[in-house]
Amino acid sequence: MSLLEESLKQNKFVVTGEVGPPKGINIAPILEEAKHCLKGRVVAVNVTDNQSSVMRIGSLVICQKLLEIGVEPVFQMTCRDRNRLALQSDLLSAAVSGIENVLCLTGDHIILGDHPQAKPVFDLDSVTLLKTVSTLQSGKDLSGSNLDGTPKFFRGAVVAPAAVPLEPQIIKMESKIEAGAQFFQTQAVFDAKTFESFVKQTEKFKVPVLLGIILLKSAAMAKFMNENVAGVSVPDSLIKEMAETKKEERQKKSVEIASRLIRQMKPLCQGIHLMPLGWGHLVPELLTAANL
Amino acid sequence: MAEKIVGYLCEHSGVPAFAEIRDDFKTLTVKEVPCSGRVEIPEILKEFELGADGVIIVGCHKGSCRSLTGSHYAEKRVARVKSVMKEIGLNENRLALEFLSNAEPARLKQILTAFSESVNKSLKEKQK
Amino acid sequence: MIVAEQKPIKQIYEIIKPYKKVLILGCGTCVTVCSAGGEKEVATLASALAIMSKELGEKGEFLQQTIERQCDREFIEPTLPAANSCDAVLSLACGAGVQLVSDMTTVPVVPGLNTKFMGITQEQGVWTENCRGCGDCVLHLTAGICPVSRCSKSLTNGPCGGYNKDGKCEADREMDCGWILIYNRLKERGMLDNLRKIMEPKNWSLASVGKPKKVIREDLRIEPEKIK
Repeated sequence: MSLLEESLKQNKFVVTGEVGPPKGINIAPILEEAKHCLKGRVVAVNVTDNQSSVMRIGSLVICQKLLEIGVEPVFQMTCRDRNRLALQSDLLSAAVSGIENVLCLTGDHIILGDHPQAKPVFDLDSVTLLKTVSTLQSGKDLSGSNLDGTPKFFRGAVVAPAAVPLEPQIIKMESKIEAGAQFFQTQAVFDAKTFESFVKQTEKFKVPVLLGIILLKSAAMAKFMNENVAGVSVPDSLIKEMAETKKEERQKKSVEIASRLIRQMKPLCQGIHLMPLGWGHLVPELLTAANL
Repeated sequence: MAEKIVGYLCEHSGVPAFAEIRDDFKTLTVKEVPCSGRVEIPEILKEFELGADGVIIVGCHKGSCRSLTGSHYAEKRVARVKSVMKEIGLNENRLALEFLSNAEPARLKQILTAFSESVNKSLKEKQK
Repeated sequence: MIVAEQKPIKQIYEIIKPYKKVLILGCGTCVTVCSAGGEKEVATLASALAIMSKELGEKGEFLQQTIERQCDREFIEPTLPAANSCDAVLSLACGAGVQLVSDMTTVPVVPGLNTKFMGITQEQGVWTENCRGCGDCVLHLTAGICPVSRCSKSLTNGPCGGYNKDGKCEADREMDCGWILIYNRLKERGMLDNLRKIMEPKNWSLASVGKPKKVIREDLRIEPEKIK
């Protein structure tokens, strides 16, 4: 059983981190970040899959490298670039590498990335991908053939508590649970009331939810996310707070805001998922400030 | 005007206005239409294919068009023909669309004179 | 209907340049409706190409003809004498028509349009895609809105997390998220349970991806040779 699964089963409040693989083969920097800022501080680290539809080195190999340095990975898989054969194949590869946590996502649209002329796959979607993982765990593949050796995974999915309308997200969350999702990591939430409303409607599902937290870098970043990142809504009060902060104080303010949000919403969830987006070096400080 | 210019004149505006000044523009080839919106895109291009130096369409002001939308369509179509002209290397200034009422013969005279000069200029530029 | 757009005139000119005498063949069905390849468009193109040809001193000759449609042999047959007298046929039909004409004459048949999609007239001058020929229609489950063609990711179980608060798609903020449209309509009609059911992975072997498809109706086939 993975550490993440075990911790959640024991009702421990967990923290997961995230690293974004590089565009290239120089993986030393993210492994350094994982080693110095995340190892021993978070229970597991997500590795993104061609995040934002930008080509990067594969999530699978980075997950393997994390295991080598003693960090538990969460293998993120999207449906954008691979069909059902490749996805099942990669899941089996992951199992052999000792990867236990898998996060099943639909994936951002190809047009948003740096290869907009590529052919989007989306043979499966996040729900049928979850079902696929469950199918493999039952000893068969999607064609119904028996597997020689059965993999086992701790299956995760995503949800966006700040999405408007919210109902489709909740309906889909239910479908994902039916398809086998055992834990959720949320898109970043910046408002406790929003999250409270979401939790009221979903606590009946009794599946652990890890609240997504992003470190705000600037007022401009906040505005950009409001305009461009679906399901994310940064309140005007926070934008104002960042705008009024001097450039040299921004990192400190960012940690302050994030730790405040964590403390406000901690009672409502079973853990936190940190998405530092390039400010991974602030994670230790943030964890301290938030009493995690 | 010495150039070969074809004028599509709307019978509610262009035709009556032109009647009063026709002696000044004896070489203008006049084609009467019930509405400026009746002039089709291929028709305009055909004129250029057959050797016209310039084509001008004269219709009613947009708010006064008898068929309500005719002048609007004329505007859209002329814009479309101009973009084709641009693609095939014809000077867009050789095509014009003007709106006036039947009580504006003096203005029509000004328009036709100015258009003739503009067409002349466009042809000279091409020869360079 | 099939919606297509005319290629830029310069591109068309480059394609027909090697040919002295060209038959510009229009189609009276889909491409007339979307004003890409009907009689008017043939006439416009004929003049445009003639003007260009003259300007470049190339003396190209352009014949014009528009037939009912180019996806049935019976309409193409009568044009063959004219086509065969030319050095090339510039077909303004969709890709299907261009190919059938090409099968019926040894004269080179070149396309003047780019075929875009199957769709409808949203309003005059605007055509939108709403069918991808997936071969396994589920419109009865999605309140008449197609998830394959109207969801940018063709998701079987949607929506993804990419819709914004105005219900627009992350791939194009001017475009509605297909699955939010489905959600809204299912909700209006008290059919939200359809959204709660998990749809199995799509059978893409039925769709217009992979090998070329065929539809055969044996009851409609007549082999004339056998009747004699």
